[in-house]
Amino acid sequence: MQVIRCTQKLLRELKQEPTNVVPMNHLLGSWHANLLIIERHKCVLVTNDSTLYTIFIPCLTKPDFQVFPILFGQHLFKSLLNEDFSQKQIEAVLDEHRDIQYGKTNNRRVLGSMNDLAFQLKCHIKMDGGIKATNIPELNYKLNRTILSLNNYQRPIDMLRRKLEEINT
Amino acid sequence: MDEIEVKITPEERDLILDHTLADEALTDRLKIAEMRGKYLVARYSISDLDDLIGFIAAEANHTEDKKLQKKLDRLIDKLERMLEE
Repeated sequence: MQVIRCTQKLLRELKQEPTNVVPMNHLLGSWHANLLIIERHKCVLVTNDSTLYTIFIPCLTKPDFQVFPILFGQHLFKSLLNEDFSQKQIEAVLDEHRDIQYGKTNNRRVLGSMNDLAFQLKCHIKMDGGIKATNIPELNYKLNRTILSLNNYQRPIDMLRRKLEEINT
Repeated sequence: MDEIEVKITPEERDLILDHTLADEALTDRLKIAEMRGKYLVARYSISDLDDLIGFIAAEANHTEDKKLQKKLDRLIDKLERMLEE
Protein backbone atom coordinates (compact mmCIF):
# COMPACT_ATOMS: atom_id res chain seq x y z
CA MET A 1 0.00 0.00 0.00
CA GLN A 2 1.17 3.49 -0.75
CA VAL A 3 0.02 7.02 0.12
CA ILE A 4 -0.22 10.01 -2.21
CA ARG A 5 -0.44 13.18 -0.16
CA CYS A 6 -2.51 15.67 -2.14
CA THR A 7 -2.99 19.41 -1.93
CA GLN A 8 -6.52 20.52 -1.05
CA LYS A 9 -7.32 21.54 -4.61
CA LEU A 10 -6.30 18.10 -5.91
CA LEU A 11 -8.30 16.29 -3.21
CA ARG A 12 -11.34 18.27 -4.34
CA GLU A 13 -10.76 17.29 -7.95
CA LEU A 14 -10.34 13.64 -6.94
CA LYS A 15 -13.47 13.92 -4.75
CA GLN A 16 -11.63 12.05 -2.04
CA GLU A 17 -11.40 12.43 1.71
CA PRO A 18 -7.85 12.12 3.00
CA THR A 19 -6.98 9.20 5.26
CA ASN A 20 -4.41 9.09 8.05
CA VAL A 21 -2.97 5.79 6.88
CA VAL A 22 0.79 5.38 7.17
CA PRO A 23 2.33 2.86 4.77
CA MET A 24 3.96 0.04 6.78
CA ASN A 25 6.30 -1.65 4.39
CA HIS A 26 7.82 0.57 1.79
CA LEU A 27 10.67 0.87 -0.60
CA LEU A 28 10.07 4.40 -1.85
CA GLY A 29 7.64 5.77 0.73
CA SER A 30 4.85 8.23 0.19
CA TRP A 31 4.39 10.79 -2.58
CA HIS A 32 3.06 14.35 -2.71
CA ALA A 33 0.80 15.47 -5.55
CA ASN A 34 -0.41 18.84 -6.76
CA LEU A 35 -2.89 19.96 -9.38
CA LEU A 36 -1.50 22.37 -11.98
CA ILE A 37 -3.54 24.20 -14.58
CA ILE A 38 -1.47 24.66 -17.71
CA GLU A 39 -3.04 26.23 -20.79
CA ARG A 40 -6.44 25.39 -19.26
CA HIS A 41 -5.51 21.73 -18.98
CA LYS A 42 -5.62 19.98 -15.62
CA CYS A 43 -2.29 18.32 -14.95
CA VAL A 44 -0.89 16.55 -11.90
CA LEU A 45 2.65 16.69 -10.59
CA VAL A 46 3.58 13.76 -8.34
CA THR A 47 6.84 13.76 -6.39
CA ASN A 48 8.27 11.01 -4.22
CA ASP A 49 9.08 12.22 -0.71
CA SER A 50 12.32 10.31 -0.21
CA THR A 51 13.96 10.80 -3.63
CA LEU A 52 12.02 13.72 -5.17
CA TYR A 53 11.62 11.52 -8.25
CA THR A 54 8.83 13.23 -10.17
CA ILE A 55 6.15 12.27 -12.62
CA PHE A 56 4.19 14.89 -14.54
CA ILE A 57 0.82 13.66 -15.80
CA PRO A 58 -0.67 16.10 -18.34
CA CYS A 59 -4.17 16.91 -19.58
CA LEU A 60 -6.39 14.87 -17.27
CA THR A 61 -10.11 14.66 -17.91
CA LYS A 62 -12.85 14.10 -15.32
CA PRO A 63 -12.87 10.29 -15.81
CA ASP A 64 -9.08 10.23 -15.39
CA PHE A 65 -9.43 11.58 -11.85
CA GLN A 66 -11.83 8.75 -11.00
CA VAL A 67 -9.18 6.17 -11.88
CA PHE A 68 -6.19 8.19 -10.79
CA PRO A 69 -4.39 5.33 -8.94
CA ILE A 70 -4.41 3.27 -12.16
CA LEU A 71 -3.30 6.24 -14.22
CA PHE A 72 -0.49 7.00 -11.78
CA GLY A 73 0.63 3.34 -11.88
CA GLN A 74 0.76 3.46 -15.68
CA HIS A 75 2.80 6.66 -15.73
CA LEU A 76 5.12 5.34 -13.03
CA PHE A 77 5.66 2.18 -15.06
CA LYS A 78 6.41 4.10 -18.26
CA SER A 79 8.71 6.48 -16.44
CA LEU A 80 10.75 3.67 -14.85
CA LEU A 81 10.91 1.84 -18.17
CA ASN A 82 12.11 5.03 -19.86
CA GLU A 83 14.88 5.29 -17.25
CA ASP A 84 16.07 1.74 -18.05
CA PHE A 85 15.36 0.20 -14.67
CA SER A 86 15.37 -3.59 -14.68
CA GLN A 87 12.18 -5.61 -14.76
CA LYS A 88 12.88 -6.76 -11.21
CA GLN A 89 13.21 -3.18 -9.98
CA ILE A 90 10.08 -2.00 -11.81
CA GLU A 91 8.06 -4.90 -10.42
CA ALA A 92 9.25 -4.16 -6.88
CA VAL A 93 8.16 -0.51 -7.17
CA LEU A 94 4.82 -1.28 -8.80
CA ASP A 95 4.14 -3.97 -6.19
CA GLU A 96 3.97 -1.39 -3.44
CA HIS A 97 1.69 0.83 -5.52
CA ARG A 98 -1.09 -1.70 -6.06
CA ASP A 99 -3.22 -0.13 -3.34
CA ILE A 100 -3.08 3.66 -3.19
CA GLN A 101 -4.63 5.79 -0.45
CA TYR A 102 -4.90 9.56 -0.42
CA GLY A 103 -3.62 11.68 2.43
CA LYS A 104 -3.12 15.33 3.29
CA THR A 105 0.19 17.02 2.55
CA ASN A 106 2.56 16.78 5.49
CA ASN A 107 5.94 17.87 4.19
CA ARG A 108 6.41 21.52 3.33
CA ARG A 109 9.97 20.87 2.10
CA VAL A 110 8.64 18.54 -0.58
CA LEU A 111 5.90 21.06 -1.45
CA GLY A 112 8.55 23.76 -1.83
CA SER A 113 10.61 21.56 -4.16
CA MET A 114 7.49 20.79 -6.19
CA ASN A 115 6.92 24.51 -6.58
CA ASP A 116 10.40 24.80 -8.13
CA LEU A 117 9.75 21.79 -10.37
CA ALA A 118 6.42 23.28 -11.48
CA PHE A 119 8.20 26.49 -12.47
CA GLN A 120 10.77 24.51 -14.44
CA LEU A 121 8.24 22.38 -16.24
CA LYS A 122 6.18 25.44 -17.21
CA CYS A 123 9.35 26.97 -18.71
CA HIS A 124 10.10 23.75 -20.65
CA ILE A 125 6.52 23.61 -21.95
CA LYS A 126 6.68 27.24 -23.05
CA MET A 127 10.00 26.67 -24.84
CA ASP A 128 8.58 23.57 -26.55
CA GLY A 129 5.68 25.59 -27.95
CA GLY A 130 2.89 24.51 -25.62
CA ILE A 131 1.72 21.46 -23.73
CA LYS A 132 0.47 19.62 -26.82
CA ALA A 133 3.86 20.02 -28.48
CA THR A 134 5.78 18.87 -25.44
CA ASN A 135 7.31 15.40 -25.33
CA ILE A 136 6.19 14.33 -21.83
CA PRO A 137 8.66 11.44 -21.27
CA GLU A 138 11.45 13.83 -22.22
CA LEU A 139 10.05 16.46 -19.85
CA ASN A 140 9.97 13.94 -16.98
CA TYR A 141 13.52 12.91 -17.90
CA LYS A 142 14.66 16.54 -17.58
CA LEU A 143 12.75 17.14 -14.32
CA ASN A 144 14.43 14.14 -12.73
CA ARG A 145 17.82 15.55 -13.61
CA THR A 146 17.19 18.84 -11.82
CA ILE A 147 19.31 19.31 -8.73
CA LEU A 148 17.30 20.26 -5.67
CA SER A 149 18.49 21.66 -2.36
CA LEU A 150 16.34 19.21 -0.40
CA ASN A 151 18.38 16.35 -1.92
CA ASN A 152 21.65 18.10 -1.03
CA TYR A 153 21.87 19.12 -4.69
CA GLN A 154 21.64 15.58 -5.99
CA ARG A 155 19.45 14.61 -8.93
CA PRO A 156 16.21 12.73 -8.15
CA ILE A 157 17.09 10.02 -10.68
CA ASP A 158 20.37 9.33 -8.85
CA MET A 159 18.55 9.17 -5.50
CA LEU A 160 16.08 6.68 -6.99
CA ARG A 161 18.82 4.55 -8.57
CA ARG A 162 20.55 4.34 -5.19
CA LYS A 163 17.29 3.27 -3.52
CA LEU A 164 16.65 0.58 -6.09
CA GLU A 165 20.24 -0.68 -6.33
CA GLU A 166 19.74 -3.34 -3.67
CA ILE A 167 16.90 -4.96 -5.63
CA ASN A 168 19.19 -6.15 -8.39
CA THR A 169 21.69 -7.73 -5.97
CA MET B 1 -16.14 28.99 -5.99
CA ASP B 2 -15.48 28.58 -2.27
CA GLU B 3 -13.28 31.29 -0.87
CA ILE B 4 -11.35 31.37 2.35
CA GLU B 5 -10.90 34.46 4.45
CA VAL B 6 -7.17 34.71 5.11
CA LYS B 7 -6.21 36.74 8.16
CA ILE B 8 -2.56 37.61 8.49
CA THR B 9 -0.56 40.29 10.24
CA PRO B 10 1.15 43.09 8.29
CA GLU B 11 4.49 41.43 9.19
CA GLU B 12 3.35 38.17 7.63
CA ARG B 13 2.16 40.05 4.55
CA ASP B 14 5.59 41.64 4.23
CA LEU B 15 7.24 38.20 4.51
CA ILE B 16 5.25 37.07 1.49
CA LEU B 17 5.79 40.25 -0.52
CA ASP B 18 9.47 40.67 0.29
CA HIS B 19 10.73 37.11 0.26
CA THR B 20 8.68 34.95 -2.08
CA LEU B 21 8.45 34.80 -5.86
CA ALA B 22 4.68 34.39 -5.79
CA ASP B 23 2.86 35.75 -8.85
CA GLU B 24 1.29 39.17 -8.58
CA ALA B 25 -2.05 37.50 -9.21
CA LEU B 26 -1.61 35.93 -5.78
CA THR B 27 -0.05 38.84 -3.94
CA ASP B 28 -1.83 41.92 -5.33
CA ARG B 29 -4.83 41.34 -3.06
CA LEU B 30 -2.50 41.44 -0.04
CA LYS B 31 -1.32 44.91 -1.02
CA ILE B 32 -4.85 46.26 -0.84
CA ALA B 33 -6.13 44.02 1.94
CA GLU B 34 -8.57 45.47 4.44
CA MET B 35 -7.23 46.00 7.96
CA ARG B 36 -9.48 44.46 10.63
CA GLY B 37 -8.10 44.98 14.10
CA LYS B 38 -4.49 43.87 13.93
CA TYR B 39 -5.07 41.61 10.92
CA LEU B 40 -5.15 42.12 7.20
CA VAL B 41 -7.98 40.23 5.57
CA ALA B 42 -7.89 38.89 2.01
CA ARG B 43 -9.96 36.28 0.25
CA TYR B 44 -8.42 33.30 -1.53
CA SER B 45 -9.83 30.35 -3.42
CA ILE B 46 -8.55 26.96 -2.22
CA SER B 47 -6.51 26.69 -5.38
CA ASP B 48 -4.87 30.10 -4.97
CA LEU B 49 -4.11 29.51 -1.30
CA ASP B 50 -2.52 26.13 -2.16
CA ASP B 51 -0.38 27.95 -4.74
CA LEU B 52 0.61 30.69 -2.30
CA ILE B 53 1.66 28.07 0.27
CA GLY B 54 3.79 26.42 -2.42
CA PHE B 55 5.67 29.66 -3.09
CA ILE B 56 6.28 30.26 0.62
CA ALA B 57 7.46 26.65 1.03
CA ALA B 58 9.87 27.09 -1.90
CA GLU B 59 11.38 30.17 -0.28
CA ALA B 60 11.65 28.36 3.06
CA ASN B 61 13.64 25.66 1.24
CA HIS B 62 15.98 28.13 -0.43
CA THR B 63 16.80 30.54 2.35
CA GLU B 64 19.97 30.05 4.37
CA ASP B 65 18.64 32.41 7.03
CA LYS B 66 17.34 30.06 9.75
CA LYS B 67 15.26 32.78 11.43
CA LEU B 68 13.53 33.62 8.18
CA GLN B 69 12.98 29.92 7.50
CA LYS B 70 11.25 29.51 10.87
CA LYS B 71 9.03 32.51 10.21
CA LEU B 72 8.07 31.17 6.79
CA ASP B 73 7.41 27.69 8.25
CA ARG B 74 5.12 29.18 10.90
CA LEU B 75 3.27 31.13 8.23
CA ILE B 76 2.81 27.96 6.14
CA ASP B 77 1.40 26.15 9.19
CA LYS B 78 -1.01 29.00 9.78
CA LEU B 79 -2.20 29.11 6.17
CA GLU B 80 -2.53 25.31 6.03
CA ARG B 81 -4.75 25.42 9.11
CA MET B 82 -6.96 28.02 7.39
CA LEU B 83 -7.09 25.81 4.32
CA GLU B 84 -8.27 22.83 6.33
CA GLU B 85 -10.91 24.67 8.37
